[in-house]
Amino acid sequence: MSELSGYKNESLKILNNAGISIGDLIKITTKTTEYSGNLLPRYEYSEENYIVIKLSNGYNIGIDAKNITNIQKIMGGEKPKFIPPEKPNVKESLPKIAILGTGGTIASRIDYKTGAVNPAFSAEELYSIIPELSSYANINTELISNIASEQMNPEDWTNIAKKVIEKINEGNQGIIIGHGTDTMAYTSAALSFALENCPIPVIITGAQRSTDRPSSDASLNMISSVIMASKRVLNGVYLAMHSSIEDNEVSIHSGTRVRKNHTSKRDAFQSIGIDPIAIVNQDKVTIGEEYIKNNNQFNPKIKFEENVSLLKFHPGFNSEIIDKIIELDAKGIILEGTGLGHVNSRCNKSIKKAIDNGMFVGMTSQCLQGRIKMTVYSAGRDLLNIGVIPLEDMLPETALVKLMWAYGNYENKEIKNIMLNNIAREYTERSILGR
Amino acid sequence: MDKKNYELKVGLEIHQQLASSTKLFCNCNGFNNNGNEVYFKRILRPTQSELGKTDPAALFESKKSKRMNYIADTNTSCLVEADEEPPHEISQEALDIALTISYLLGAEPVDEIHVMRKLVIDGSNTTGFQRTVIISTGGELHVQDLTIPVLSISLEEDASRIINKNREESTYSLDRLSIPLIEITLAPMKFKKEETEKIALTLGRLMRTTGKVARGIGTIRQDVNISIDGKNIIEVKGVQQLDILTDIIEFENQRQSNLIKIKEELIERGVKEDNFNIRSAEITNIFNNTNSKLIKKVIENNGKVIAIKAPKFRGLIGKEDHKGTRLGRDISSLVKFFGFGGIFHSDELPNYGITEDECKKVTNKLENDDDDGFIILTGNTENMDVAVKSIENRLLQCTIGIPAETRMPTEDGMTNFMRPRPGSARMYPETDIIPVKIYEEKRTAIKKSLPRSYEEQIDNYKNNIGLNDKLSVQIFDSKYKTLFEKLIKKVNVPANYIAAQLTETMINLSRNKIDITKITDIELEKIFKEIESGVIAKESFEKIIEDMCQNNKKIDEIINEMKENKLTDEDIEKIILKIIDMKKEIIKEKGNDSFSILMGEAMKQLRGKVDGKIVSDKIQKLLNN
Ligand SMILES: [Zn+2]
Repeated sequence: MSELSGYKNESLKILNNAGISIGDLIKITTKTTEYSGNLLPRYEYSEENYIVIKLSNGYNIGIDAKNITNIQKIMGGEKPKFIPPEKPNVKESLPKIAILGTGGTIASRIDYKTGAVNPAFSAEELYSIIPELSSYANINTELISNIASEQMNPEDWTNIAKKVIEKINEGNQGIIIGHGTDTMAYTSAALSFALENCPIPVIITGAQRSTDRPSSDASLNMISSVIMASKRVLNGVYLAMHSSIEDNEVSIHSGTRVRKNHTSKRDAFQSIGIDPIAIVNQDKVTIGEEYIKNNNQFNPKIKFEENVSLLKFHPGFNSEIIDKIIELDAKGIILEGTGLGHVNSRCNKSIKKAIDNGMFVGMTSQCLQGRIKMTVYSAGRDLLNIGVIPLEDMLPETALVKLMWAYGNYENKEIKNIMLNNIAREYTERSILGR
Repeated sequence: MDKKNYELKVGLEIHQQLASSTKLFCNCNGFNNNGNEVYFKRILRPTQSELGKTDPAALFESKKSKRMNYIADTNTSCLVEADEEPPHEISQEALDIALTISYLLGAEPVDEIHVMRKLVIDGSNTTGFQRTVIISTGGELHVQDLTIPVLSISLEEDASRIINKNREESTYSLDRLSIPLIEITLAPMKFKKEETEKIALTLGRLMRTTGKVARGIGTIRQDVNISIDGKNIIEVKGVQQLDILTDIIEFENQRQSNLIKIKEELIERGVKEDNFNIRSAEITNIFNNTNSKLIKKVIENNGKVIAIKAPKFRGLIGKEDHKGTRLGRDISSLVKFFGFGGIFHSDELPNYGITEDECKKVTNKLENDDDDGFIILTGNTENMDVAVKSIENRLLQCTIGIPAETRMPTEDGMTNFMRPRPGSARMYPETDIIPVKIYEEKRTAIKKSLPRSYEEQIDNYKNNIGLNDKLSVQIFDSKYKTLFEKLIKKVNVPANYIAAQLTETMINLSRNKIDITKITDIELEKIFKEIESGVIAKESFEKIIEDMCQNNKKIDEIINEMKENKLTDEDIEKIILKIIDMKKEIIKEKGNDSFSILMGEAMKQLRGKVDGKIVSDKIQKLLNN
């Protein structure tokens, strides 16, 4: 970071000429008035030349460089100093739990001098920000990547899975993964397949409301995830987020049946077609009746094939898109059809071409709720005849991730079987009344 | 006390709600409470600052209840108020009003405004911070010969309305949350305390010239910064009524003077910060057979009794030259902060069932001398250590002087401890909103359309519109100012009549405990329109409002009924002719002088149904026939 980060052109020249750097206390005289305050970095991308200072009352203001008649440094700024907290005494007998960071902030601290919000991630910092953690677990932390969740790619899933295996081998009894919420459900599906029969709980969590606000949902999500992991009753991959807009209950969703259904609410994540596997309310954990612990041999397969597509059908859908995908040598396509699993028959030719080329084409429904049934109407039957595979009630995103995983780890001839085999609760046996 | 060293300095911070059609960062209207109620619970956690620990004020607050209950009306609040959705762009309407007021005060808008988050974790903001933004700086307020510099003008979100608060949790209503407030900070000045009200009034009226500020209880609040030693500022939060402002300033003047006298007396008695010998002891045993009902109950509930030595304080804790300014009361309000009911102190004992013998035992236990005092704290053991510690601190502060605090006003013009003053402002940028530039075109446009001054507007009411002095001021100060100005242009009904209904009649109704806040401007406009068209008689205004408020009748319903029951000219004439016939003896006797008798008789039957003017015209006409 340069001494005058964010400033350019005219404003940079003015500041350089006056020998001013970020943090300095400066006095600015304009045509109409006078301000003094500490110079702040200018983050916003802007062609216009504005200089931002923090006034002594704590407010920030921007001053148009054009209006400045005089600028002078009063004194140098103090460098912010961070005193890390000490580690509390945590009982050795508590379960050992690893917390992995991928990029979404789990906790943060604020530098009121500059207004900067910095992530806090060491075990010491987490204990000091969320003191409740020390009564449930011995935590160790590792930042494994620093990318916003919308920037994640299938190779990042592989890296996370590798790290999880490493942490299991280190003797952790549970693993919590901090994750940005945008693609959290894709990652939870990916890990569900990659870590087949995972012997310990792997819980992905995050925050819908930023961690620098006292009202953030991050702390309760983290505490509840740690409580869940520390109880040693579940194994497998889960996603833990608020059950409602209140700060009391956190739902533990199955990694393959969960979806982000709201852009900003705390309870954006919902289980589709099933109830959450468990609910954590303060100390109390309630496990759903249908839950059966999986005691099969841990069978990690962590590769993903990116060249797979998810296509959402809509009126006016251009079937040439499918042709282009075939030209791109894609391995397979998941269709997000209408209703029970339909697309306009003018797409059939291109779909047939894909299947004839050896591609897997699976059908899911854009209704999200409910099951594919392609024998009811002729449009569905035609697609079945072409060779489209109905994927029951698997969520479209989960089907996409599963197909990436299947092509990443299995031979072409095995794909259909793998896709139809219920590996990580991606299919439900029964469509439950009352849901 | 040497008067020369101490000087009363008062700085006012005026917070005025703006009557803009939306809240500051979403499209809700905070004044339209008619939706469904939604409830939700939250927990607020103190955020960590860069120094690795929460700052003292936040820590202090965090010891209090963190569980919040929120009540939200679906009309006045959306996901933004619930902190379930990022804020929208700042309301241009509110920004324009703030810029207008800035120019009226000669303040200079900043080139680019940056919305900040100011940490407030008492739950009054669902986010845990209040969004606030400086719009302009500088300027002056002129009040007769006085010139008071303006330090800054900002726009901020109003806080939620507190419904209920106890040790475990607080309940807030979200309707008020995020209504735009303009905050005007005036420089602290030496001035006579009586002048404060005048300053607040002048500033209030200056803002009202825009016609875009909210009126009514709670829509304007004053924070007052009061200092007499020039160093430690006492901030009194949220004074709603102007008439107690003077009392509060006088109370603080006296309370702070009392603290300085205590400090001087302690120095005289040889007590200093460094030889201050504080100690405390548990004395529950002493009260095992006490007659004090309060202490008995505490012990029965497994509570504790603790005595704190107040070295050389004999006579100083209860000393009170001005009602309510004694130190004992201050310490009492301090422990209430931690959930305790209050304290006993040596200057008021024996009393309240505590005997002389028990006092002696306490004195012995603390090894007190004759000029030492003590404080007794009783209650639940939870928070006891921190409350005792804070009493000890408070006593120690007496050797230094006046502690900087934020205090709450009471209804009778006193103040109570609320929380310690936060050291520096706990602010950081609102990263969800990008900074907004205030371009030259906007400045010019606002400057061009500045409202006329208070004096000019009153003048206009009197000379051009024809209101009398009293009505002119009343309608200017009322919440119906803007509606009035619209109505006199739109409906052909005398301005005097409209002004009187909107002020005197409405005030009367609300004095009679009728909730007129339900009545909207649109409804009022409809009533005056039907008065113009003759469907509603002038005399019925009050009755219609009453009907709407008390019987929940809709205005359209009332108007339709009136239209159906409306008397035709013929009906009216028939009634009048009948009266003339009945009174023909009197008419013969008195001639034209009988008019008032006929009028009285006719109005008995027609009041509320027909305008009095029409009745009188008809009588005149029929008499002359
Ligand atoms: Zn809203």
